[in-house]
Amino acid sequence: MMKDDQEYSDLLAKWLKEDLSEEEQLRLEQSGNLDDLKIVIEDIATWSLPEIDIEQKLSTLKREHLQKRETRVVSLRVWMSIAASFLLLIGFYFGSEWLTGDRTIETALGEQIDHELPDGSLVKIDALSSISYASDWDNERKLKLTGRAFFDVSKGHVFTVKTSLGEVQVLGTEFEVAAIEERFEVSCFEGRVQVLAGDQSEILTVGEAINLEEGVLVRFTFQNTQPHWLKGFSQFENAPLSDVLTELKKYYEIEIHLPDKYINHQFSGRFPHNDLKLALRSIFDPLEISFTLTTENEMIFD
Amino acid sequence: MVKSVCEEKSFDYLYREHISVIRNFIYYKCGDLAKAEDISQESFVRLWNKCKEVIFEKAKSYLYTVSQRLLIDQYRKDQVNLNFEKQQVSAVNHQDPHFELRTKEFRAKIEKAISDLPEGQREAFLLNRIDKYTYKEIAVLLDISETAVEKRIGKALLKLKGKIEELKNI
Repeated sequence: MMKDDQEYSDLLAKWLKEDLSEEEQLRLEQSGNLDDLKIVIEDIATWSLPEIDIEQKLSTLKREHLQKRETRVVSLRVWMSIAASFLLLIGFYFGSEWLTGDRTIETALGEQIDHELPDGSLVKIDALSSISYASDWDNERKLKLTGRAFFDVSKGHVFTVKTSLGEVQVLGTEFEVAAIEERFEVSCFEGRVQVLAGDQSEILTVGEAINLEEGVLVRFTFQNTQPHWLKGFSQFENAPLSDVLTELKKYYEIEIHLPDKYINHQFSGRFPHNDLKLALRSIFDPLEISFTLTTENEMIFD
Repeated sequence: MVKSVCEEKSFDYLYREHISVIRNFIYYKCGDLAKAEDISQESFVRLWNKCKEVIFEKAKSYLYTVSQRLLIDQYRKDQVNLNFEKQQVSAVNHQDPHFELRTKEFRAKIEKAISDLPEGQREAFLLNRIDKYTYKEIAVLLDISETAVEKRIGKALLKLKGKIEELKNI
């Protein structure tokens, strides 16, 4: 007979992992029938919890939460945006100089793509953007960008990102480049980066940014440690409403004809990339502009 | 070469290897699936931020320690109600002498009995049953002795056995 519950439960634990001596087996059997328990135990072993979509969660984790490490000797990030209409204005277009892109990756509206370059460098491409690079990549790490992207560059020789308004050069490092309509902007999140535009050249360090205004590079500083778009929203400070709407249209299929009376409005704030209604309210509520949205996603202003 | 957690490949490997069981483990403790998802995800963010300090071989125990601490920081609940996905019981087969142990109602009661187990017994028992961890593996991740795991599981079994008898005699 069993001395007590303590001994009995110890035997049950061994029974479960099939680790009983013959003598123990006998004692356990004498103390009661285990058939029912066995059936229940085996049933429980078939229970499960909802399966995790591991790859999807891992990429979400990387996109939203993971700060890039600073383990490399040289490490920097750049953020640049560029204006298609602007470039006509200052006559800066050098489309013909661009590389003959053997490989082109383009993103659709609201889409973001992670792409690995031949040298193992990583590019995160924002919505409505494209990168292309030549097949002789190994000789010259050079690619062209329209739109916006984040680069995590592996160590090696010079890495160049060309845009129609200027280029960014780094030596084995991490950086980020973005090019959106209506502006040319480079912000350095880490380390140092060289920005070239026309005959102008500027070096930026952490927290420094540059803006091309009427063809002149103008420096300014910023606070955030990561570009907002990587976290799923866009942020503005005293930006013309038209710029904000241009950005909005990168993420949402939407028709907007802004009445002239609102054209000079300025917006400070942010909008999310995954919720159209919330995005519209975030922009227009603070400006006290009322509107309705048709089922075809066309905005009607009062 | 020593593997570094800071290497994306190593990190991805750790993620794929452990995210599910950590999520389950936290669920067994708190009975809140959304919370368990958040905490397991957050534990990997912490690991990433500490990737230079945590050596690869210790990453797993780091993840378990951090996720438990996150749970303690955020959340305390005495009563948990665990819910598992179960295989459909096709039409009850009365030829089966144990058919009553396989009904939906009976399983729900067993689920409740498991939920009512003390946390230590519950997590050890379920890690063994659901996640197929050996006593030894459970001991490592809970940072207790193998004997302690055995005691916990034994007690859980004893209670479960009592519950089954009680349910059958109603």
